[in-house]
Amino acid sequence: MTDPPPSELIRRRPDPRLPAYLLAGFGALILAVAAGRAELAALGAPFVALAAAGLVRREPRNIRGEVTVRDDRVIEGDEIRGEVTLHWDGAGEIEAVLTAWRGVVAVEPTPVPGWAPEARTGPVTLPFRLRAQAWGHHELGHLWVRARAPGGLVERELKVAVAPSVRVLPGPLRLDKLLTPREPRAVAGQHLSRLRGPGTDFAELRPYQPGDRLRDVSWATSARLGEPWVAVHHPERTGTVVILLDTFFGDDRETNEALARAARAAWAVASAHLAAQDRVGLLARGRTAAWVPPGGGRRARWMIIDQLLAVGGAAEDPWRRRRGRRVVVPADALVVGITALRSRTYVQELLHHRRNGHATVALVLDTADLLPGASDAPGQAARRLWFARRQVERQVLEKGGVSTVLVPPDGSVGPAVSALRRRMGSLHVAGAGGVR
Amino acid sequence: MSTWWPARRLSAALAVATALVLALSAVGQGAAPWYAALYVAVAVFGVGSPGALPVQVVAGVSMVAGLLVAGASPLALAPLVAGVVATAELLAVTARLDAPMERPAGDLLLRAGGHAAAAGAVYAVVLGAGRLPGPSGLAAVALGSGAALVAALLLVRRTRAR
Repeated sequence: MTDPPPSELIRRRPDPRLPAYLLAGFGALILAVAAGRAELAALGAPFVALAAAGLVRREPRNIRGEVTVRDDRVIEGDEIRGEVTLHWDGAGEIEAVLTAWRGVVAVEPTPVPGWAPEARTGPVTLPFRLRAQAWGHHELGHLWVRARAPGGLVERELKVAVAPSVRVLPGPLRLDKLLTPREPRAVAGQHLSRLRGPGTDFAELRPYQPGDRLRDVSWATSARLGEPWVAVHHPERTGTVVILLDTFFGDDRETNEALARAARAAWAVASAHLAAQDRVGLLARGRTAAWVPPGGGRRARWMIIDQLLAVGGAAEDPWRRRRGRRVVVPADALVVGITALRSRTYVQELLHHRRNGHATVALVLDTADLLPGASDAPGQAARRLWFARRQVERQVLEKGGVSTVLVPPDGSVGPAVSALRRRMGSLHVAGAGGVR
Repeated sequence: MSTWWPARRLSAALAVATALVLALSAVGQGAAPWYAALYVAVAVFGVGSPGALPVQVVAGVSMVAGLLVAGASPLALAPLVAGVVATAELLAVTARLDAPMERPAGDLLLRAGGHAAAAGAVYAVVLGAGRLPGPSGLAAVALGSGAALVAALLLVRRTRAR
């Protein structure tokens, strides 16, 4: 095992007793000299002696430490268990604390992961438990130590170690239905193609033609009509889905919670489509940007979760911003907007994709429960305005050809996706004149 | 934000109680009641603000010095000297326990008691040394203070050797 790196001395500060004892002691001694009274010197002597004793004690040396966690990938709400190990030479009184952590809350010790071990000599191992509160890629902060000699009057503050970072994955939201990509690709998957071919979903009956498989002959129909007829099926294919995540959020907890809901929904849609062999991409637009080109398999899964975590980390850390990159959304992609409709810019972005010819739908997250309570008339008016504005934005999207469905505050994406499927189905039927 | 762990509440209560007993004793030996009340007020203020600790110590030492100059028996003032140190030590413990983590305070309280006793003892020893036959005036003061320093250093060295 390698030794932890040396610590960084931040500051050295005296105990408040040190100036008090020096002032009282030397003051009494000077007074004794001035007044020529030996009793006053006796009065100052204990304070000078206590100050001297507090200064000459040898401080603990070579303080170093490390922070380890058992799991660096957890789900929202999971506990993160870890240990702080501190080493030092000589006797010392040590206090350690983990500071500047984000996206987690302390479970044990509480209210912050801090320790004042009784041991006067190292090493000591100090266990801690944190709870992952917000999804994202989070730093667990720094390990700070205050050290002094036992009974010493000077204290040192050191930054001893940088804690590892953890990836907090969004909580799972299960989907049992998938959105239907505009034009499924010629790769076997779970979406019904508008083409006819080998598959399990019935499409139509037609007269037998040379080359048809014998197994496709519908014997009942053939017997009734007196000539051979075959059943034709839709083949199952894969599709391309690009999730357009709305990250137009503020710095307050409410909008961060809205973003967290959006991320959970995005992850639910992405993971369900990836499991169905679809190619899935992620495009985040707003205060922080992300772009994962559509892809399939484990690589795409990890790239999407990584970008989602980066977006979540940016939400927890207002100083972290990410720039957008040039984005090319494939022409056959179904663009799925996931938004709380808090930004008009995002609405324009969705309409832009629709105008470019992409099939575009939007899952609108209902974040009304995150609005501050309105007891007075202006508050209630503001609330009504908020609802009206959201309704207007939805109408703008619908008029522009973007189907929208409201996702309730409990985050149940499944019914919303089913509703979107139904609406997309009706659109397909309406525009299916050219179905082959 | 202050955290009032049970140990911190105990040390704060002990500090105020010590200051109160010290003030009453000082008044009993002839100190002005308003000055004793001021000392207690400073000690109470020091519970929430460690920056007041030098004021508390200087106020205590001034009170004892005033009694010495007024002609009180120097040896009878040894408990007062120990009381000033005890109050300061307990206030320092209270300030130190103002941390986001709870810590056992038994050793800190014991050490505060030890420092107070040592202060009383050093005062008595230096006072006794001044009454021994030998140099008087400034020379006696210098010798007494030097002896106190040497004693403290020896004490520390013995502690470290353990």
